[in-house]
Amino acid sequence: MTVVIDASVLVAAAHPDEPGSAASATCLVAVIARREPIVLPWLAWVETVSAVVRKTGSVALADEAGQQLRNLPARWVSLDETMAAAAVAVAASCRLRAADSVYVALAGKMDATLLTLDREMKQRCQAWCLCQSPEDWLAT
Amino acid sequence: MKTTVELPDSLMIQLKIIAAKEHRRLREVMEDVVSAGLLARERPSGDEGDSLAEAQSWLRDWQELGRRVRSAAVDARPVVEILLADRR
Repeated sequence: MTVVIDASVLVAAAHPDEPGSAASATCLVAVIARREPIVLPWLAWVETVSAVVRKTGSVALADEAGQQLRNLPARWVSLDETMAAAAVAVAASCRLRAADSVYVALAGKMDATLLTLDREMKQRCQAWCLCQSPEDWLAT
Repeated sequence: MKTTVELPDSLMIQLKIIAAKEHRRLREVMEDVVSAGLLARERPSGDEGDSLAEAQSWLRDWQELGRRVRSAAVDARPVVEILLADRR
């Protein structure tokens, strides 16, 4: 089954001492190893680089994180007008924030499972897509 | 969860060598090895073995970068917290 992976899961997998890391890492390995199709919005690239540069102040490390993320065997999807319209509908109906709405809209469009560590996203988007934490996904 | 398991000396030595070479904790190496073993049992064919190796290789590189990020941290918050706070 296709999965859309929220940047929270990607970032957590890199940091074993952070909450949700073990499940995120195991989940990512399982997804890649099973060759489940991975779909990511380009937003995930921006969010990951932004989080690393804010954590470290290092542009070099942030760039490296971005490059390494791009090595994931994933299909990257643009926020074109159609996708933006879907995200607008998600934002309005679920009262989700902008970035959250992009992930949910993408998962809905792709008929994919959305993996996230964001509890609010998970609670509010169930009408649009199946949204699970890495732990939930591993348990199913 | 903590548990006690008896392993042959030869296996423990191999695990410790990997941990030392990769500058990682023994516990982390054991988690990788056990996870890989469980996945391999589910999907034992050659192609899937390759994809498992690919997945573990990507994760190793990703976590190595994570260690460097932690070493260079100027913000004490977890990276996930920083990311989620950016959305709020």
